[in-house]
Formats: sequence, structure tokens, C-alpha cells
Amino acid sequence: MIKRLQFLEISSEPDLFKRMVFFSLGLHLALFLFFGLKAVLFPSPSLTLDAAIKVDIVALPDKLQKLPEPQAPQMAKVPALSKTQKTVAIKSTANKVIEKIKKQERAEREKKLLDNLKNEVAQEEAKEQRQAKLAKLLKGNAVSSGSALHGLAKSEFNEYLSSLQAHVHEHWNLPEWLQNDNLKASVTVFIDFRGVVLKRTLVNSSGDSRFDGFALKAVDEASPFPQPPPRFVDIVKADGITLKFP
Amino acid sequence: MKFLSLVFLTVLAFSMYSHGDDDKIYINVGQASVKKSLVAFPPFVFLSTPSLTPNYKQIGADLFNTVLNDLEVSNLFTIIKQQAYLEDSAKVGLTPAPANPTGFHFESWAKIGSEFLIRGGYKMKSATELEFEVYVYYVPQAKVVLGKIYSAKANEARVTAHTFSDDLMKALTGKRGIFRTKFVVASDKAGNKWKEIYVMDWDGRNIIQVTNHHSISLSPAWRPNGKTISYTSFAYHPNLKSRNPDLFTYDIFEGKRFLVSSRLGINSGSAFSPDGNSIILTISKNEGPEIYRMNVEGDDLERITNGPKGSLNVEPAFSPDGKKIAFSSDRSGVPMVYVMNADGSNIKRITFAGRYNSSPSWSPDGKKLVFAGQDKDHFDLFTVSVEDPTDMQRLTSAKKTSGKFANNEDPSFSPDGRHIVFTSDRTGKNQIYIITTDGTSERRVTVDSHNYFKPKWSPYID
Repeated sequence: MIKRLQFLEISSEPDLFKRMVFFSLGLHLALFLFFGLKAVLFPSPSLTLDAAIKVDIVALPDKLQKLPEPQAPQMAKVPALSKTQKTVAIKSTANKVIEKIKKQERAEREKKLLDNLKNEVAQEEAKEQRQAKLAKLLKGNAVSSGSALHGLAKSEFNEYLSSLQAHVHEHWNLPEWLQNDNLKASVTVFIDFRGVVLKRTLVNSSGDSRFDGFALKAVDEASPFPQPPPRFVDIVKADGITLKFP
Repeated sequence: MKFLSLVFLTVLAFSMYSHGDDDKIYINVGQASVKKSLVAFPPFVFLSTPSLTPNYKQIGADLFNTVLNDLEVSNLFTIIKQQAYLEDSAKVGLTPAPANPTGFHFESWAKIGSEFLIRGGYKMKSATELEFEVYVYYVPQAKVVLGKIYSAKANEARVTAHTFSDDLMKALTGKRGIFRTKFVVASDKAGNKWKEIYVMDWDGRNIIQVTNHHSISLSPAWRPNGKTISYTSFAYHPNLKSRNPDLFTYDIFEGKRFLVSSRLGINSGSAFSPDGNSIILTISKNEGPEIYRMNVEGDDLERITNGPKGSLNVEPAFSPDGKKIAFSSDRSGVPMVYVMNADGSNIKRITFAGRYNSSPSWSPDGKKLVFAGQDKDHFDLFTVSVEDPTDMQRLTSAKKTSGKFANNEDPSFSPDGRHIVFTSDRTGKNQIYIITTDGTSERRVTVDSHNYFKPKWSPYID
């Protein structure tokens, strides 16, 4: 060690720099090898990442039915050979025949095994379907599908909303002295299946009671609204429709 | 382009309603249609004793009819006919029951659908003193919009009524009313083939002659303070032994007259700058007519337009912000309307169609010009957007009794930008008319058989 240090001191500067670089590289390599070998020889358990699932607990789960145990495949018995076939001359042919029979038996056994497996799978699928039907009663942990409208239903609903907008707009009047870009009000309207206004409330005042008065008057004069299609009656009943003036 | 507008419309249609993040349903109802307010206007009640003033009925009629005309011209109201009223206003007080035991009842006015109710009464404090008490109610909310008592001289009934109308406009719209504004106009009503300058109320009343040159006086204009006018008159120059169109200014209240420019040739078509300190006008000085600027005394002459040679540059008008000048010029071959910067740079042609477009007047917001344009054989009024000259609208198309189209000329905007005054010969004589800026409602102002020329609407007058 001392000799080595002395050696380092004696060397000139550019040489010293070179040697230090190599020294550093060597240490890096050693570190790399050490951890590499560690990972190979002593691996640590890997992390598993699963996607998060939204789960609604809507009712206490049922007791799980125990599934029947899968049956162990049974081997077919091989028939014993008869004495008439015990001659030396025909021993070799007998051996060939024995081999052929064994092959056939093996094939039959395998076929039987496969059939058994197919039956089991069919049985299990039937069981799953029955369980799925029961599961539709939403027992136990289940993922809810939500209440948003999709596709055709959504465009029909939008058509209904635009007919509502046109209808209310016909009755929406303001005198010239209230035409002011800053005045805005909102009225929430609850309608029944006939389109009759059951209740209307001013949810956002414009700050000018006369402007609010004209907005409410527009709603009153527009009643009854166009009838909502039957499948939307509940949707408009739930939170009502909020009309924004203008 | 069609596809894009279709896409745009679809997006717009879907944007009219939406699902909020709390799953609420929203609908944007859109812009409201404009509707006039219904107003109940029962006759004014005389509150003192008749014996003191025998002419009380005339005063009451003046008050009432002036307010009635103001309400109609304001274009905000539809007046409910008196036959529909359920309550006899002469028998109930000016203020409502139950606070006033003998007051009127809101229900009887709400039942006929009135949005506003005007209850007025007047008394003669003496033979020469008038007191006018008036209340305006918003019936749907049973609230007072305006309640005032005006004191005036007995012969000031019309001015009092106009003051009330202005106050009502201010209370309702937040903007000043135009009911105390005036017109200055040239007319031949003095006879003898002369034309003199007159000032009158906007409703054609109180006509006062302000010149007596016994000559031809033309193209008057208002100074922004509403107290001074300018005009051109063919005054006699003794050294020349002939007449020359000279520019004068006249202070209406003090009765003082000044000769501002007597340069040889034309000194006419004058207009004041918005700060009232400069005048722009057409001066010819034995050359072609060009637009010049000078101070109110007629000095500091500055040339603004410069040819082209042989062309006329006339009828200049300052924009409300004082940065631009609109004028008429025939440099393209026929008179057209142009706009330039106040220093004469950046001349932009505004009109391209028609045979003779002239006398431009700016709207108070500086966005539009109104001018008279000749279409085939007659003149009509047109409004045009200064930014987008393709946005043009014809306002008038009246016919004479002969069946021919009348000439509608010399338009001038009101200070609130809602009306335009002009002259029309549809009755055979040049009479003064006003029209709403959208062209929907016209009213005749002067009702006589004289001729009136180039009326100008005054600024707001206090």
C-alpha cells in the first residue's frame, strides 16, 4: 500500500491524471459487477401492478356455492394375451401386434380423457351462466354501469332539448331599456310527463328584479312545455331543467 | 364555406344545451326579442281651483300632449287606450292605496296588462306659476320608478313636460333623453325669396328666427356647447359691390353675431370640432373648393384636402372622437362619401354605388354614417358602417301624392343616436321629418307650406 502511494507521488502530473482515471473506471466497473451478480444470483421479488377497479357494494354477498371436484380420468384396462399366440416363430410378429394394440389403446385413452375434459368445461360454463343470471340481482361486490345516455338515446335527448329551447325562446321578450349584456339569470323548471310546469325557481338572479321578472314570465307563458319522450320523463324529473337567460 | 357554416351551426346547436359536471341539464335560451312596454297614461288631474287661472285647461293639455308625443317618439312604449282603463283617475289620488286612503289601486291597472302607470297632476300656484307633480310606477312590482314635482312659469308648460320625459328616460335606460334638444335649419318662410336661419324645438314648436340678413342664408351647424351656431350667408361686400357667401357665428343666448370668414369665394358647409375650438368648412378662394380648418375666430387657416384638380371636396363632418372627417367629393367622377383622418391623410372611399352620395352625418358612437344617395331619379337616406362599407341599409322610400318617389335629404343624427332628422318633399314642399335609425318609424315635424333646408340636430342642451 505504501509502495503504491509512493509510486503515485513519484509519477508526473499527466501520468497521475491518467492513472486516476483508470482507477476510477475500475471502481465503477467493480460496483457494476457486484450489483449485477447480486441481481442474478439473489433476485428480489418483482412488483405486480394491477388496474384499479371501481367497485360498488350494493348488498351483502351470498354464500358461495362449492363447485364439484373435477373427476380423475380412469385408465381403461388392457386385455390379457391368449395362449395360442405363444409360439417362438411368431414371437416377433406377436410383439409388433402387441405394440400396435398398445398404441391404439393409448389413443383411445387420450380421446376419452379429452372428452371428459370437454364435458367438464361445458358443465362449468353452464354453472357460470346460471351464476351470472343470479348476480344480476346485484348481490355481493359488483361494478355499476352508470346512468349516462349513449348513442341514439343521447341524440334523441338533445333533439328534445333543442325543441325546448326554441319553445321558450318564442316567449322570451325584453323591453329595450333592459337590453343589457351584463344581466343574466337562471330558472330551474320541473315538468311532468305532459310538459306542464310543476315548479319553477329562480336559482341565479341577475341583480335586477325586473329582468328576473321577465325571465320568470317567459317560463310561465311557455307552459306547457313540449312533452318529454316517455323514457326521459324520469331524467327531467330528477334535477329539473335549468334555463339560462339569455 | 357551406360545409364550414354547417359544422359551425351543428356545434352551435349542441352548445345550446349541455350536461353539467353534476349531471344537471342546462339550456341557453338565447337573446330576447325586443318588445315595447305597455304604459297606462290617464289624463293629468288639475289640483287647484279653476277660478284663479282661466287658461288652466290649455296648460294641462300642453303638458299632457307634450309628454304623450315624447313617449311615442321614445319608441319604448305602447300607450294603452283610455277606454280600457278600469279606474277613473280623476277620482283617485296620485299615489297608491292603502298608503293613501283615497289613492288608486294597482290591481285595476295590473288587470289591463300595464307595465307602467304615469299619474300626474298640476296646479297653478298663481296666475304665472305652475307646479307639475308626477309619478311613474312599475306595475308588476308596484314600485315607484320616478316621482317628482316641477316648478315653472305658466308659459313653460312644454319645457316642463320635456324635462319630465328626459328624467323618465334617464331613470329607465340610464341615458339622457333628447326631448329638450333643438334643430337649426334654413327656411324660406320669411318670404321674399330669402332664406333665413331658424332654431326650433325638436317637435317643431317654438320656432325662432335668428338671422335677418335679407339674403340667402344656408348650411347652419351647432357648436358642441349648444349655445352657438354657425351658418353661411350671401352677405354684401361693398368693396366688391357684390355678394359673397361668408361664414358667420351667432350666440343664441347672448344675441352676439361674428363674421368669421369672408374670404373670396365659398365659405360654407361648416361644422365644429367635438371640442368646439375649430371649424372645418369648404373654402374656394377662387380655386377649386377644398376643405379647410380654422379656429373659431376664423384664423389659423389650415388646408386639409388637396385636389385632385377640378374636383369638389365639400360637406365635411367631424367624427365624435375628433379623429376623422367624413366628406363628399366628386374626385371619382360623381359625388361619393369619403372618410379621412383629421389631418387629411388616409382618405378612404366609403360609397361606390349610386349616382350622387352626399351630406354625411356621423352617429354618436362613431360607427355609422347616414347620407343621402341618389337612386335613379330620387334621393333616399342610407346608413353605412364605417368599418365595413358593404353593411348598408336604406331607411326611406316614401312616395309623393303624385305617385313618384320623394326626395329625402340632408340627414343629421340625434345626440342619443336613435333618431335622424331630414327633409322630405313628399308633400310637395321640403318639410322636416324624423326617423328611427332602423328605419321603422317616421314622423313629420313641421306642418306648414314652407320649405326647410339642411336641418341639424343640436347636442344635448341643459
